[in-house]
Amino acid sequence: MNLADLPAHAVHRRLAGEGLLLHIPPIAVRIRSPMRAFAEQLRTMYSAYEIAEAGTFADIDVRIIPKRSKRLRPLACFIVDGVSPFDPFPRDHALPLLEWGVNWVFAQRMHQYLLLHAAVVERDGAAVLLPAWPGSGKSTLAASLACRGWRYLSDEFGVVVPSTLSVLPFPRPAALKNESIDVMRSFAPDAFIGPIFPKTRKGSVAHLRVPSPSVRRARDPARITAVFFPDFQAGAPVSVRPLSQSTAFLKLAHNAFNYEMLGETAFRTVAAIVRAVPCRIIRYGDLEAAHLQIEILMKEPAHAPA
Amino acid sequence: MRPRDGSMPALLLRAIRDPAALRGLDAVTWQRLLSCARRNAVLAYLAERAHACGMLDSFEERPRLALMSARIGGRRLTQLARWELDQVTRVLSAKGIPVIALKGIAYVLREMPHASTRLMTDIDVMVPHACIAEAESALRDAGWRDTKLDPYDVTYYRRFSHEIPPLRYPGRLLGVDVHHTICAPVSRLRPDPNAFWAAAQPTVMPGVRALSPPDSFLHAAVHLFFDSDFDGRFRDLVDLHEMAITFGEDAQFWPALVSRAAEIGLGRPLFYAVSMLDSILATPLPAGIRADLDRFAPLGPVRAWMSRTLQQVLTPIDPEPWPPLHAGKLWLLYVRSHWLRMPAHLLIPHLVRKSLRRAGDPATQTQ
Repeated sequence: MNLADLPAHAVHRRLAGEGLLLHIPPIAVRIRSPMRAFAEQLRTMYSAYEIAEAGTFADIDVRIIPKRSKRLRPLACFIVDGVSPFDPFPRDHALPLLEWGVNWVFAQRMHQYLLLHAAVVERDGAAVLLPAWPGSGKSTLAASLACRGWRYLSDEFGVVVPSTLSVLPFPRPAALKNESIDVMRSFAPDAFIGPIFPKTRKGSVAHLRVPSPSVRRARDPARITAVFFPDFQAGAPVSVRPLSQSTAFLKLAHNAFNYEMLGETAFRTVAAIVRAVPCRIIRYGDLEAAHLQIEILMKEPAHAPA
Repeated sequence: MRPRDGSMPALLLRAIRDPAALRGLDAVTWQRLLSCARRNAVLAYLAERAHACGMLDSFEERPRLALMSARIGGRRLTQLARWELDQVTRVLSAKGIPVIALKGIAYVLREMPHASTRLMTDIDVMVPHACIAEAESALRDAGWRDTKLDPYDVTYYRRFSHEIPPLRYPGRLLGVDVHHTICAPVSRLRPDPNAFWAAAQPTVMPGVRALSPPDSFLHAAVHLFFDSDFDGRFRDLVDLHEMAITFGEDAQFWPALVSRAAEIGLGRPLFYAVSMLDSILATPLPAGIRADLDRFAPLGPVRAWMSRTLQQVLTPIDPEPWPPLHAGKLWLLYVRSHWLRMPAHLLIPHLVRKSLRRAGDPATQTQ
């Protein structure tokens, strides 16, 4: 049963009671919250996700709890394992709080995988890593590709099985920030974008709902066949710069979430990626031009999936 | 108050004593147990215990992955701690300043089985009191810097603490706490630091010593029962448990420990440590030790109150209730620990200041 199959009041009742268990491969997440507005937001953004049966092991078990600041401002608090690891958000930002919090816990705890900081998309069996620093356009680029028939695996985590080129989907709503929200609305008018949350720590944030075909295939790993470091520069013509293996290695390793934690395993895994697939920087100022360039590059024989 | 049978804290205690208790758990129990272990900072320890019994591979995939992931994290922190100690020692040795490794990093150097499972945020070292200024400036010259502290905290460290404000090398995960004595200089407990130096032993790392086994145990006991933060101290009780087991393999350890405690005036913390190990973790202890330590116990009513309260706050915390339980008890112990550390004319302004700051901070959680 998917979340969309559960009526809104039932979603709220579960969240407020024994908790809602969702499969968000590769993990199951248990969410509890008494907040009705949050239940609505969650149901909208996660409608295509499968509800796990009672008795399923939840890898991450969280609560979103209302509280008030000393000045009586309504807040929402993220609780995991009986502690609240970071400052609360404004009450009506409960959904961004869940997204941020689950990412934080995932990065802290999932050392069975190498966690690259990257968006990931796939087409015809060929997965593309889009690793980048915040602000370089990876979420927007991944979201836009997802709206044009690519499978969306993640906008934040490249979940790599150590010592392989296999990347696992961890599909979550894509966080679009500031100008990207309008860019996506005009690029893909049919795409479902949730409410805008103003004044988060990253400015205004709105989430692109993961297209349901990508949710349905969330258990299928994909093979990494290319690494493109997106470099969005307003007004820039599209250009491609190949990276040496050593430069690509440093760029990938340096912004991974748990490279140091995994030590030698991480070194071997990143080395295997940069040796096996071409790594390039794509500078672009326009999504259409970036797509066209990626289409051309993916037709090269080096990118054929094995 | 013992944890309720069937509660996660009770299961966690059983599993630590004997990992066979982990056999055949259902998925939901696993999940709640792992959550409880995380809350009490002993997930990697639980994993190590299960691994040592050869059980880890027999578990279901999800709990097994979670336990293995915790071991990876613990091992990495251990490696970083060794490396940080090496860096610190290079700087201090060049100035001829001797170093004693304390707490977590000392367990690492002793290669104790639980050492690689402790969640560390810093390493603790001690230098002779006379060298503290030189040690601090040598580390600063070599690139270590202050962590973010407000001016009041810095003053507190400088005037009342047994360590200087924590230092950290920019960009590194682990900080360095440099101690110059065992207890706060204004504290009611004032063991002679020279006694600790005289008994310290060499370690596997050249130039670094560790406290003798009895002194290591007493040091951990002092910090467990006289430090102010009583949230999540079960992990520290586990340190004492592991020391009791590892050091206790030597038949001389317990008699030496008791006479050492009497000699340097740390009988009271030893009394508390042994009674809590016995009642919470059922640590194997030599026969008659509790009766022997009775002479260090406080008077009747204090004894009863402390025993109940310590038992409550040292038992693993149940992560399920929200807001967390026994906030009031934690506050009383917090006040008590300061009472032991500072005379009243210093203590009252300090606590008032801390309370005001707490009230002014919107992010502060219920404690």
